[in-house]
Amino acid sequence: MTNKDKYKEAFGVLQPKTISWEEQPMKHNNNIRTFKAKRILAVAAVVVILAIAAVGAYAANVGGIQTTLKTWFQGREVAVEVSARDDGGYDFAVTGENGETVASFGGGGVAMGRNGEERPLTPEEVLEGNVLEVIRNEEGRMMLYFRDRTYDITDFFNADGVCKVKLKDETKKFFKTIYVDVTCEEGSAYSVSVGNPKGGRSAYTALDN
Amino acid sequence: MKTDTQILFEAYRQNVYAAAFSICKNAADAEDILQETFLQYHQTNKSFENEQHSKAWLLRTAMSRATDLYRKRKRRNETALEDYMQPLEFPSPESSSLFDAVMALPEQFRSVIHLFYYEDYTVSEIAKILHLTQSNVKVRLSRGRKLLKESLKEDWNDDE
Repeated sequence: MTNKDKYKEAFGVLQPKTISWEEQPMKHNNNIRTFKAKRILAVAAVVVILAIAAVGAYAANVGGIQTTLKTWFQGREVAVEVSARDDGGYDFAVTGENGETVASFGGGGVAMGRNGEERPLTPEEVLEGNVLEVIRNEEGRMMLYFRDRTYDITDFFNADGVCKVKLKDETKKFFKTIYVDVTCEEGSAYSVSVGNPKGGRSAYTALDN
Repeated sequence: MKTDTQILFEAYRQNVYAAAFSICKNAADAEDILQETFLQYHQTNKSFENEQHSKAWLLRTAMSRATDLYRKRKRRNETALEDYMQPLEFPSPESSSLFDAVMALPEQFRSVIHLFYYEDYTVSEIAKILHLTQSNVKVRLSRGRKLLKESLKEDWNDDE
């Protein structure tokens, strides 16, 4: 036997438990929803702080009929199809140039008015919470996307797998500075938190000086 | 072009799993990396030249994820190196010894050795997949082989 034959025989014993791709989609979809939901909560919090007056337009706007909106996806503006869910949230499908679905996720949330009344977030408000995206690309680099801006944040992680960065959102009149915490978790997973600075503002590296 | 995820999964799940395992040395982590890698493929907008291009991308992505995880666990002293041998049943004692010897190699040698001996990639192909220079790949291959020879002695041939 050649060395290659011996190597293949030895490593041929490695067999994954997962035998079908079809077994996984629900788990993946749930992961995506969980991940997005964290940011949706941040959006909801901002909406509460600003005490936006309640308006009558929300999920009923969509009414179960698909609507197409524009949003940002990995640094570029894309069309996204919106479907209202029974639970008041939405399913979003990012469509490619030929109308094919290239990514999908779900989200929702509640905004609170001046008098404490609650209303579901509109799909536009939910999407606004998704203009900041962190992904690991095929080269293994951690990329942060914010609207049309792209940052490589790989080198900003400390030894504990935590990255603290801040950036400016010039479209906002108030709360222009966005504080982002990215934390590596079990497996290759990571969580993203957007909101108030944790541990002081000086702990955050500015991405856009 | 982009080959359907289901087709690629059926064809290469074992390759991707073995590539990840060879780096991270942990069945549960390799399983997670397998799923995450195919999910990333499923969601990417990237266009691929052919199926072999897709396979190379899958292996690179899985190995990159496995390297990240392995280094993180190593920093935290979480890697139990002995655990990986428990559930595996090898066809011969020599296979078990070879597996053990490869797992004992430094991480930067394992990826190159695996792509050469298991996936039959050439030096230039490995350089492209791992984003290394060809000379760097040759050095890692040479040092990896030398360590395997020292460990396995007559069970490791002098051929390539």
